[in-house]
Amino acid sequence: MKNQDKPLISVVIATRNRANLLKQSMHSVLSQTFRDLELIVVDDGSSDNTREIVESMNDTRVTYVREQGRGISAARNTGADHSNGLWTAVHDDDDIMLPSRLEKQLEFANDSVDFIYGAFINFDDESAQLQLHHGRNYGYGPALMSGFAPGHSTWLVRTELLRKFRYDEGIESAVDNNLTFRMLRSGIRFKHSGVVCLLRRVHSGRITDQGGQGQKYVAQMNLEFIRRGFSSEEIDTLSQEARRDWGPVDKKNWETKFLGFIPDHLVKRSGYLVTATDVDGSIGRVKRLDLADVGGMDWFEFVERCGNGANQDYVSIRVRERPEIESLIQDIEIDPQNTKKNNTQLLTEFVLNRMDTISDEFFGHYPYVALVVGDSRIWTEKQRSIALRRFVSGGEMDEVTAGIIQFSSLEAADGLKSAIFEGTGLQYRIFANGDLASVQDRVSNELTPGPGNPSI
Amino acid sequence: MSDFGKVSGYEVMKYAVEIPRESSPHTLIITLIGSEIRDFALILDTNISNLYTDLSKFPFSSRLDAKYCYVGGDLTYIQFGQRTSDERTASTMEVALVRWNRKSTTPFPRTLHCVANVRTSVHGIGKNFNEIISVVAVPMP
Repeated sequence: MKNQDKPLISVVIATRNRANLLKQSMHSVLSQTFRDLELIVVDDGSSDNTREIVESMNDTRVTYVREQGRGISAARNTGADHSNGLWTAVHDDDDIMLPSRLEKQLEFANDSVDFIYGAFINFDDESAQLQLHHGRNYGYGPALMSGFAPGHSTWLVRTELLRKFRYDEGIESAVDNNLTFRMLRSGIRFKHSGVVCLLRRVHSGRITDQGGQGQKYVAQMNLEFIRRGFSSEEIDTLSQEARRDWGPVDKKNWETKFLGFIPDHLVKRSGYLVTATDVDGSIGRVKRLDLADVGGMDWFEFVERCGNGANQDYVSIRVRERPEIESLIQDIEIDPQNTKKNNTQLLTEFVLNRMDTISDEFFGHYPYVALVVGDSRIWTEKQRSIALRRFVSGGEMDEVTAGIIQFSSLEAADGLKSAIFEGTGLQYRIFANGDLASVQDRVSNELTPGPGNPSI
Repeated sequence: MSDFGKVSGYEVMKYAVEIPRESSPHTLIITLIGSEIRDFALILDTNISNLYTDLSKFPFSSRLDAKYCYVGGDLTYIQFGQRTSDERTASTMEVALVRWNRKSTTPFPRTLHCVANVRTSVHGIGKNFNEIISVVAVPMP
């Protein structure tokens, strides 16, 4: 089940009796945009079908390791012992790794860093409520202040350090704090990447929630350990400095950006995913698009496509209503735009969105553009050569081409339609740059004879 | 629909507005250079007149159940009102121009223009451009 060459990253999941959640967790790892990884699943004595789930993933990057229920810390140490990667990424069996997490965190991996971490989002597995934990820039300040440690599943640590420091097998909770405190004391260099790494499932069976008094006791012991040797004045000063020293997380649109990766029972997706590549054709460069309607896609396919580089800017997500409401509306399309779209509709919507997003690039100095869309086979060479920017999508038999033509006047835009596009089966639509009032004024000026009319 | 555009005793020209899937018509621009402000009247297809209440101001005929507004002057702007594309019922909207002033000699326009909002994505209406739909005259039988 393993590649011959050593991967750059080992992802380690320690699990016990979570077969129902493990599949999603593993899939999110194996669908990472960064491919050079191995996934080590340490099964800490499960009595359910965990082994079958792991083996069903059918991916040579996966290694299954069976343990005899020695506890979570021992399982994590076993994972580190089996790691072949230079770096080890921690992941939990009930969490969802966001598709570009490893790729983005690796950008911070250099000789001056030993331990990279980031932010995470808690999601409620019943209500889909989200909570962003952006974390602090790690050092003595946050550790002394409240016993803060980087979010465990966001860790990307040099494997040799995990093997050297090891999780304390004598404790069952707050093991991550314990380990980072010891690393901090030893001068390990931490770096907050600012990357939002994962969606952390908040549900009743969490290990974190099972610690009870024992967890509080261990947390207190950890805090006493890290505070040893510091005077109360030093603790106060360092804590004060740490209070506002948050990690550099880009919080813009974070809720909508990551909502799509929440499982299907909580959200409904619509719109489409886009994968674009530039292709050189006989008459210039064409953008070839793979447009995939997400309406009929499940979570696994959605995550896999995003991991393969699909852009989700054109996807819209809503949180599902209560079951009694959802069952009533599931067959009714609230938004007609969400009905299954054909290739022409998807491509038209894609180009319109691009035109709106980067309108300067499409319109340039021209007030009007025509968007021509239709079956690639019916486009003539002459029509193609006039369209300066072109996009194609679909396969050989259903390939659709969209082209953009710029104009200085409405009359010319109308005229070209009559000259070479009318009656050809191609959709020909004219758009005017600017808001409604300015477009109305410009069109009115052109329709009324007089000086300044560009068509005269 | 059977009586639409067949208004006894008046000259009539019918126009078809082909509305693309993502567009929502906002303003119809009618050019009648040199005409008087009440030389023409615009009637909506009875099937859609209820939808565009902003336009349908006056009852034209109880028998036809159609409504109209005056058209004339060099340019006439007829606002369809703020409608989302979700409320649109037809991909082709038909309107008719009727010569209201029988003494008027201004010819019917060959083309009308309609400025439309465009839904650019699942996220909503575009901000940076609008669509101009050319509205062509439909040959009368």
